[in-house]
Amino acid sequence: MKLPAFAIQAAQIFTVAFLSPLLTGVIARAEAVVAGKRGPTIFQPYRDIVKYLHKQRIKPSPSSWIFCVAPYVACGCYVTVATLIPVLTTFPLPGATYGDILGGAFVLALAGFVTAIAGLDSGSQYTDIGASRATMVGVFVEPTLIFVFFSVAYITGTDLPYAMNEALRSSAVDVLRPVHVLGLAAFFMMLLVDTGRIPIESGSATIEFGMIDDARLFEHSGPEMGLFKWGSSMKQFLLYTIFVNVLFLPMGLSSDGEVTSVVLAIVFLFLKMLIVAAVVVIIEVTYAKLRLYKITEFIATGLLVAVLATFVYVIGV
Amino acid sequence: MSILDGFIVGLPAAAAAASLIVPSRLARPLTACAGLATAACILVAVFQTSHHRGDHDALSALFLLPVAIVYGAVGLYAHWYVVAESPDDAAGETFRREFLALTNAFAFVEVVVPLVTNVPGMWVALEATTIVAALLVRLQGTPAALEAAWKYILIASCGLALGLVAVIVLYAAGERALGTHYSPEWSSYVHLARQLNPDGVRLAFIFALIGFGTKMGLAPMHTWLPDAHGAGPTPTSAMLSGVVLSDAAYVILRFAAIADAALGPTVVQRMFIGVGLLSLFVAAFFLLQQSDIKRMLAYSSIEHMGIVAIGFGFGAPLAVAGALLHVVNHSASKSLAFFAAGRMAARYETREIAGITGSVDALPISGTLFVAAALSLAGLPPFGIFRSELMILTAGFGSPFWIVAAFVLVLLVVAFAGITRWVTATTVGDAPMSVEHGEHAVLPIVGMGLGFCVVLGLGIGVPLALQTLLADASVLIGTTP
Amino acid sequence: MHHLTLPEAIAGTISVALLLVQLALLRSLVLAELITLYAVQSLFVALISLAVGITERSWELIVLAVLTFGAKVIILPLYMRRLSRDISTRVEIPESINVTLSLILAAAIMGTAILTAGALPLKTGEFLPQADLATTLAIVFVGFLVAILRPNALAQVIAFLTIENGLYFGTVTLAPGLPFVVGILLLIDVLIAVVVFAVLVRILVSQEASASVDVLQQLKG
Repeated sequence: MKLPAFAIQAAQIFTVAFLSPLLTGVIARAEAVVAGKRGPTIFQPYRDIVKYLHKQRIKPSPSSWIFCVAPYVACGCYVTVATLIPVLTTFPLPGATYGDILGGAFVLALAGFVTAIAGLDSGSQYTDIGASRATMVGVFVEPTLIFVFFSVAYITGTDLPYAMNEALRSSAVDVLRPVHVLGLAAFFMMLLVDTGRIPIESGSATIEFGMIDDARLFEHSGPEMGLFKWGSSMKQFLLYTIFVNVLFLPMGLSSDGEVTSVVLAIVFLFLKMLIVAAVVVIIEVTYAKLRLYKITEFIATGLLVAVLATFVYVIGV
Repeated sequence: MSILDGFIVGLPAAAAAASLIVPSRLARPLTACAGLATAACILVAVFQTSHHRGDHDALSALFLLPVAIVYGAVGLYAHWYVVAESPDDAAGETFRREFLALTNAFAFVEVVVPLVTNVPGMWVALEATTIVAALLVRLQGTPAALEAAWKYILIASCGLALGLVAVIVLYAAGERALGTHYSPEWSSYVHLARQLNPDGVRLAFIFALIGFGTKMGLAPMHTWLPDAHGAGPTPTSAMLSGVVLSDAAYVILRFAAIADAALGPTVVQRMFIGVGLLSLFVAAFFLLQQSDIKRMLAYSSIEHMGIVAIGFGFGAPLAVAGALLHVVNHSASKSLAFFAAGRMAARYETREIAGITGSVDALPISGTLFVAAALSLAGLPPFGIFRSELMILTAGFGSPFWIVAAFVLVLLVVAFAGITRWVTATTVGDAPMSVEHGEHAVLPIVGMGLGFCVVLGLGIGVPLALQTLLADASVLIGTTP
Repeated sequence: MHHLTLPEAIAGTISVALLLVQLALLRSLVLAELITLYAVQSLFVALISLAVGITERSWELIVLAVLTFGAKVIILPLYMRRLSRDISTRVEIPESINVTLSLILAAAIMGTAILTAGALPLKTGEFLPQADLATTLAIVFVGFLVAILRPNALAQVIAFLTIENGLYFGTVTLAPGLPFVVGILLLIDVLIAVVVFAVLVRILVSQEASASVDVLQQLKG
């Protein structure tokens, strides 16, 4: 039975919204298992979010309406991006015409901006530090992402995520070109940065003085905290989706809109993400967290690799 | 390769090998004889070429002359120098042998450069001069000498790396005309210049000018020069200033000839003038603030290489001939100046200008010769440099670049002020009592005297053979009438 | 859009790898890492020389490849490791500007080199002539940058050696017909440079009784 377009669109949004905590849970469990522990169940993030939704909300006195509104804006942004990128299908859905991949990057940046502002608004020192560090990191991460998208756009000849997916699926050789490989490497480095994993932040432990992303959320509580946690899961899911569907493994998506193929697409998507998650977990247990000022070196290296990708395209490799 | 060439190349090589084996009291006269013999052979070869016999072109022959002038004198000078600079024990003997062997080897690689006819070979020979020179500069073992040798080898090698890029790009530019595997003889490039890839030739010339210009001492790649010439032993400084700079100029000229034939004169001329003017400017102003006598002479070398580059940049036949003559004149004057300065530094036991006073009192002949050489470097008649500078400037005022010529004149005045200031400082006043008076050595004086004859002789009149040679060489490089 | 043949793709990938190694030189402040990076780069260059030699059926290039491998991948790094252990107790080298800024500078310089080479319509040599010239120039320029920004004698030697690697790469890919002698002489040049450096450094260290070879700043003006 062929699903109508808006149904698939809704399925896309639901996939992003409801599968993202599962991904977080799987990664946490995998890390623990690899480290020799038993670890929480993979459904733990769901329970955490539900728990937060029932808790009392406390607002610090110097904060304003921004503090309250920020989580909703952030989640809204993530849901918007979910409509832009190819999550389940190879053909563009109605929502995809709202923006190209750069637009998606901007919306994600908006979410990050709002979170940082909320952190500043609350007036606590920890959130201030977190917000400023996150912005500093963002200064390098955004250009890197843009360069990566440019280099992929050079190869595929287009900026729209669905079209990029199409182009990469049709010529497998192009995925192995040095331009593309360099772009993948740079994006993967930025993935580690944006989702807050080693070597940028230790995902499992909270070390206050070294935190970047998590520090911004310190002052929130109750349902807003739940929304933020959900939001960061969604962001992780989205970045993985972009990495997998647009850049790396553009197979397995539904091309005809049949119910079975859509369901299979969801399954395949999650499996592809698990591959990436496996690499992330291996890195997590192998390496140590970088010192704070060396983090800019790491990110600058990512920027350099992305720039190199663009140059390498110019010389025709 | 003819028998004469065999001698020219073989004599220094043999002397180098011999100096390693025999004790230094034999090696010293051996070096002196090798120097004079090589000089004689070179003069014969040059004479032959000027009469259109022999198998070198005029440019090669012309650039063999600095080797003759400097090596001939160095052999005599080193005879005294190694004894004066080293103690009489086993360590001193090692120093003497090493120094003489390296000096002869240095002459060997220097004389090979003008004789090689293919482009990569020229690069190889220049690279060899870098290595031998670095070993010589560090020989005295002081921290300053080590730092100078380190800077020299690093900067010169990096410059030569760019030079190799030039060689490679030129080779690639020639593949369209000559096929993928061909022997990169300079003559093939020039004959087929019109068919070479013009962008490749332009890129090759730019890299050649920057890369080999590092060895020639052109600004802004000149930073190694004051250190290496200043901190190294005197005969080495003379050979560096007198021959290596001209060898590097020779290689640049070969590239310029190809570029001129392939692209027309504009690119080449503009680049020469740009680099030359910058060198002259930098040198003239740094000359004013030197306190070390050999560093001062080193900056003077940069100044004169700048003038040579400007001469080539003006492009008129008179200017080009003047620049070529200037190379020879500069070798003679600069080596004389270094020799005399070395004698003074050894006698007064300091290289600081402030420490040397009343030089004519203490060393009558060396002191006078130093004054003469310095005045010659400053551009005074009746010495040779005046003549070549006059040729260059006359042609310059007649060319479209006359503003440049005016600048050059002003900067020459500044340099003149610098040199005369320091020369007067060393001559005026009384020599301190602790300093021994009198020359007390014959051979270095003879060597310096020979150099002085060249300096004066070229000022009074240029021999006919040399004139023919200059004319032929100008044609080879390519001039705008 | 230009699709590549397999040999071109391999050559392209190796060129990119060379560039990455050259840039990694700036990331690292540890001498042992620099030596390892040099060995890796020499390995890639030897591989390219082998590949071009086989394609061109030129025994000279194959011999050079083997010699390069032996000398630059095995002997020289071992020798330099021993040298650095003997003369220096410090593991890290000083930097004149911090790593992030030097990386950005390197990106800018590499861009300049690549754009310069890109403006040149050379149609010669093996594989991708423009890429080869761009890679050569980029390696040379970034090598210069490393030599400027790391005022330590051993680091400067390694920078110089990587420049020579880049030149060798350029010779092999752009001008494979150049005489065999040049290739051999490049190799000898490298060996002699290292030997001269070793001589200088030993004398320096024994005189100064210092444990570092940070370049002196005595001679100025």
